[in-house]
Amino acid sequence: MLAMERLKKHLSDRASTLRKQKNDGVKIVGYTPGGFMPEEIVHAAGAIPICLLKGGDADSVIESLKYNPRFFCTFCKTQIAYLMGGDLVYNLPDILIVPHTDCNHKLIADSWNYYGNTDVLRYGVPHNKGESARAYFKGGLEILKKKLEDLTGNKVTDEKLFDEIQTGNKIRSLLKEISFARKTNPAAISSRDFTMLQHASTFADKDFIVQTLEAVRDEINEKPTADKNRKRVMMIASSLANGDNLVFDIIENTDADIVYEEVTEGYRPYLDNVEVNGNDPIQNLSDTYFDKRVPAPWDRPWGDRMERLIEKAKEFSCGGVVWYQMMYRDGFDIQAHYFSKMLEEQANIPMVKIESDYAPAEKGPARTRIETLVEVMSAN
Amino acid sequence: MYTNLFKLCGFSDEEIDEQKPRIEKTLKIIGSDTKEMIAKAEKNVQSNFDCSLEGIRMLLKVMMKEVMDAVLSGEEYEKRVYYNWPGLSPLAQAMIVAGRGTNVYACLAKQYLWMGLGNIFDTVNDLLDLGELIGQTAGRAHCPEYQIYTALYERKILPIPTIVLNCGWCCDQGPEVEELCTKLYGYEATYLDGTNDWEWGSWPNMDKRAIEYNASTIKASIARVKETTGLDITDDHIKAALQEIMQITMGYMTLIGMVSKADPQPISQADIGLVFLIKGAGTRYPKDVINGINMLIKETKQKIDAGVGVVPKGAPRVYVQLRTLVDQKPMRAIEELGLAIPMMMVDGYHPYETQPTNYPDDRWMSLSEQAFRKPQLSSAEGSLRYWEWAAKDQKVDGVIMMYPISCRPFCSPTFIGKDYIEKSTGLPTILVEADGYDTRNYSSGQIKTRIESFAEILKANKKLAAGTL
Ligand code: SF4
Repeated sequence: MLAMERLKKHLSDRASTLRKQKNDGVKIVGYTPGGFMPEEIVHAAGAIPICLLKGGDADSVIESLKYNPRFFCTFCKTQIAYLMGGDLVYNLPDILIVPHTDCNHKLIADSWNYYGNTDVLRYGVPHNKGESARAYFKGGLEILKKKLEDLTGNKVTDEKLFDEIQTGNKIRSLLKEISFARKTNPAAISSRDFTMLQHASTFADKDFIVQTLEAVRDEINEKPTADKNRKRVMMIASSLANGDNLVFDIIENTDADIVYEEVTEGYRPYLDNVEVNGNDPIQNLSDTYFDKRVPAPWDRPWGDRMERLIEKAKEFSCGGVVWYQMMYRDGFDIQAHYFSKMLEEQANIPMVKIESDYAPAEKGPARTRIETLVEVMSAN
Repeated sequence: MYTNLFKLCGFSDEEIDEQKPRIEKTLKIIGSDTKEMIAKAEKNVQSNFDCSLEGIRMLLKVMMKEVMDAVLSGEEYEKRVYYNWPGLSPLAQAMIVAGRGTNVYACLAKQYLWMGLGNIFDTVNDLLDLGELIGQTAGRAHCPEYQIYTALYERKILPIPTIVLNCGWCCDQGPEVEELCTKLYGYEATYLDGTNDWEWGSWPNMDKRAIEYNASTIKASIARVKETTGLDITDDHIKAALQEIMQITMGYMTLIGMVSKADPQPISQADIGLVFLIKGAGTRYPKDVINGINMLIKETKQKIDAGVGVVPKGAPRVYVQLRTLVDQKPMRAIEELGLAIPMMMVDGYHPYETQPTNYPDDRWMSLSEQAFRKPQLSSAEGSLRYWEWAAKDQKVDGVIMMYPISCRPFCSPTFIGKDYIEKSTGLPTILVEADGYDTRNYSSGQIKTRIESFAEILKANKKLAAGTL
């Protein structure tokens, strides 16, 4: 795909472009993945948001042990290693925004506060969707807005916010269109490429990404339909970092395709747009970024997460599920136990759980498990 | 068969006789009803505690009674409400007070079961093995306390509750497992919620917004407890609970104050651990607890007056960051190396913690604020300042940064802590892996070996300073 090639080029130049912009006085706002940080507010403040989501390499895990105990989510614990190791992108932000979802994200914030020199802003993501939880999350966004106004010296007006929400909606809608094309044609886009688009959408220039997504959407409509016999898999992931290709490397050598993903950290949630009407854009953002989201496994109560996942598996005609979790990410491991049974009972869909600490030795066992899943799917 | 064990745990012959049916039922349910299991328990309890101390026996009796009450609550009460750690002791104790004299068993059943099955009966490893098969995979640093908890339901040791009030203020693992258990075993849970999003540098001025949110979840939870069990936690219950907690805490502070000042250290931190456990949980038997603590204070004073102790006089002093909870042997192991432990974990109150509340007119907000000012489970930055203060206040010669591998909230700031303590105090600091609830993750022997050369350094430093090396 031409658009993808152009995107790769853009991404490879992006860090140095951002460095130049920073030198010219533009503020760079880093944030941790999870989909709880509305980029719209950052853009409206005249700053550039970048999501920090590198991962997948074993060296960063080893490096992280200098700073923290190893018993934390693999993705989260390695984030300090990139900062301290002098990674160009990780050293760009003038501030790091950490929406606190669980203690693994708290570790990121604490480590950056203690070991690094970057300012850190945290705001809490409550673990239920009740009234006071919603108000609390919205309050966090108000704090974020104020902080960004102070950082940039620019006022975040409602007008600017509504403008940015329009752009954000365009990106979400395009991602949805591209993703949903796989309902009818699994060859529309590979999960690896869709993931690349997702990651790029949190790092590339926003106008460029809109153009890219439009071009990809147009290109995939031209693509021939995939072989009907290929199997359809859904991937549910705790964190899918930029550079973490374990599942793709394996699945691409089977006769199955990942046709839908629910990625808690690493994907921009795109199922719901933000309301553009009304007089309280922060409330509108809060509604979409917090309230309408598929609940996460650390939520209590679990809410309708599992029902919604099963619904998606059916909607995308998936015959199997790959549940991909970071090692020591407690909530995912706990929920996987129950979800796999529920999935089997309610939809007769088999699931395999893959876990990663970014160690090369994991690939063999993971391959066996995924291949077995695909075989079981054939037998069904 | 079990008379000696119950006597070690402070029961008289008459009490054993009177409690016979309950004792036998309990032993059967927990699977400790054979000669071998009782012998194992006798050996275990004596390796954890100095059962020659009457105060210890009095407190062990409380623990044993709480274990029996929890196990038999299925048949002795119509409804059950459990308060699950980690959390807010005034709320837990208020719940206990509200439950007195009603048909609702209200207590911290889980805590007393791991306490008793760990420290007395030595049967938690078996439960841990089972918990690992129920959504908390082995070797993945899942909270062993909750692995035990799940297994307690699976084995039908812990009766299914009407509702659980679970505290998710500082810990995710607890409520996550609770959710799983509600699905697997069919009961309801309500959660205290918090997000621990305190800004670096804000401790102890905890953010009002967060305090309000935390307090709102307490109010919602107690309302739900009332709806499901009829248990109404009133202001009077809270007042009474605070009184009980105050008395127990004062006794505890007196005891640890005496121990930290005395040279040689008169009693082991392992024995103090028993008081710590009961104090932390809250109790249905506050008077017995207070009497037990007072007796222990008396016995400690006698040891101080006689100049006897568990370490040599003049031993180097260390602050130890973690108490192991289902077994007390690591504390003895450290003392056996000739190190005095004047203070552990969260024992002392940093002056910031005792500042007056900013919310005198809102009970739940003031309690939330107070809870979060205890930094270890909320603020990493607060923890650093707490540790620095503890080390200086106790004039220690070194710090043992022992951390639980399977409790993310508690192990989170420990590496940072070692770096910070070394820089801010210049004290030798060592990181030691251990665990609160899973003795398969450590052994007191390993801990001893790990600390041995550190202890030698501290002793040499001391001699050097005194000019005797
Ligand atoms: S993980 Fe830690 S804080 Fe949470 S319940 Fe377990 S021991 Fe307590």
